Amino acid sequence: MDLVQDVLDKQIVDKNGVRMGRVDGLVAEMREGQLPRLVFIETGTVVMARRFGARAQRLMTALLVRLGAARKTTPYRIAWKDVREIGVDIELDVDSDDTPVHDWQRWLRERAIDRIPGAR
Amino acid sequence: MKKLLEISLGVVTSIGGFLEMGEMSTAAQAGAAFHYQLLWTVVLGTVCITFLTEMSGRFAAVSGHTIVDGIRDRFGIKVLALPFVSTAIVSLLVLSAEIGGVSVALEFATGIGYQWWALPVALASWLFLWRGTFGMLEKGVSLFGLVTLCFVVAIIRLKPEWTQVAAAAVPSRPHGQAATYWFMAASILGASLSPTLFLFYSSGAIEDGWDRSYLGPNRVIAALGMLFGGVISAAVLLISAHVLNGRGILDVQDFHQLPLLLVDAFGMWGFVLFVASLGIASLGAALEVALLEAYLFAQTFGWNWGQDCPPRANPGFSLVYTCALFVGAVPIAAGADPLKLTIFSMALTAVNLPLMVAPFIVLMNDEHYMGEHCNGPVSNVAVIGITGLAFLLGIVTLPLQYFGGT
Repeated sequence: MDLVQDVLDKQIVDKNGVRMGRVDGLVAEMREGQLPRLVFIETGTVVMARRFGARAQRLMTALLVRLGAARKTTPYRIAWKDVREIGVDIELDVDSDDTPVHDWQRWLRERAIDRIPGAR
Repeated sequence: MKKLLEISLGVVTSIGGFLEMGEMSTAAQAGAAFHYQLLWTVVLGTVCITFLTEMSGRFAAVSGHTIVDGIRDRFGIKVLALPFVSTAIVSLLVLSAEIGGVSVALEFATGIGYQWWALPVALASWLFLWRGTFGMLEKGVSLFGLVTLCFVVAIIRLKPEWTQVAAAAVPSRPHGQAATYWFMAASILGASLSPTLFLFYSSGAIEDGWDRSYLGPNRVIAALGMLFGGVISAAVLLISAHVLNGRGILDVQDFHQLPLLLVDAFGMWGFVLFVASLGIASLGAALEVALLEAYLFAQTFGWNWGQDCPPRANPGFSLVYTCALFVGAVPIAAGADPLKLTIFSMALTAVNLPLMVAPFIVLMNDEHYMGEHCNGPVSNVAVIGITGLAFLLGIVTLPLQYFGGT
């Protein structure tokens, strides 16, 4: 499998079919005398920014801290063993409600969307 | 057969992305300034957008991806970043132009200045997206959009010289005013070939759950949908050649001149029909472009999206179309001239076009995504040739038009 072609940038979908971000980064483990092994896939704004260079990463981190979303600066890591299937999307064995990935959307829902009539 | 009923996706795409404030204004200006002569740009634009639409439907049906989704998947965020940013900005300008189109129609209908209508129009569009489903959008806009067929009836009543019309369908060089001629050619191509249109269509195909069994219907839907928009745009241009050019109005400076177009053919009812056509087509376009902004963000970053879910299921997606509509209303509410804004944003669309089309063409030729349904040489050549022409015309004439003082 070609990790960059088949995994990186793919849509991640949880076990209920809810889209939960894209694969912004890969974490591999280096092993003595063997090929590196993929252990995590990562999703998060800062990891995505890092792919444009170190300066973009610093800018994005500073921006998130300024916006009061310091928690968003650490990417969410998904263990490779939780990946159920790789097809059109990457399907996980995880429920997105148990992860922090949708925190900002939940915040938005509670603070704004639900207060506007007809949001349901 | 039942699948062919999804023609409403073709028609809604055609009305929203093709036949709207942009196409009506640019075609009317071209007809006034150059009589039939620029008709070939409408023909080329229609051919190219038909290919692009068919391709985007085929891509969605075969690969299960929308185009934005596919570009991120295949090329990564670094390649998608530039077309994402530029398309988001250009689409926002186009959204302003469409909100301007509805506001102008409401000014004609009520006599109250267009700038007062910008925010109510944004609010009404938002309410429709907030409460409505994708099916309601498709069927509502395509049904009411049929009123624009009045342009076709009008041109038949005006009895054009059909041999001259046929001759104008072939590209020709202008006899004078070369800079204006080519700028208008770029604007018409830009108005026909907006990325909004095929990005929207591929998202619509995913929303409607297309699979490979839709490959045949997709061809018919794309061809008929775009033919609908193309024929009406051509009619607007020809009518303008008769009514405006024929009266010696060579330069449409003011949108108040536009309703004149249908008065010769229908009398007072022509005014009503024009206002209804402009209002409905621009409203359809505003809804489509606002939704496209939301698709663009959600698909680039992998958020949950879908117009059929209630807003609380997709907070990020809903946030984007909400912001886009209200930000888009600002220039019009501040009194920007809707006609000038439209022409400018259409030429800018032509320049922005290759950024999205180039990676899309590569995807269409990638067997990993398309298997045996890759592009053939005809669609490759047609799309690359025509978008290349639109880009060249735009990049050369935009600076001339705004900074060269010609």
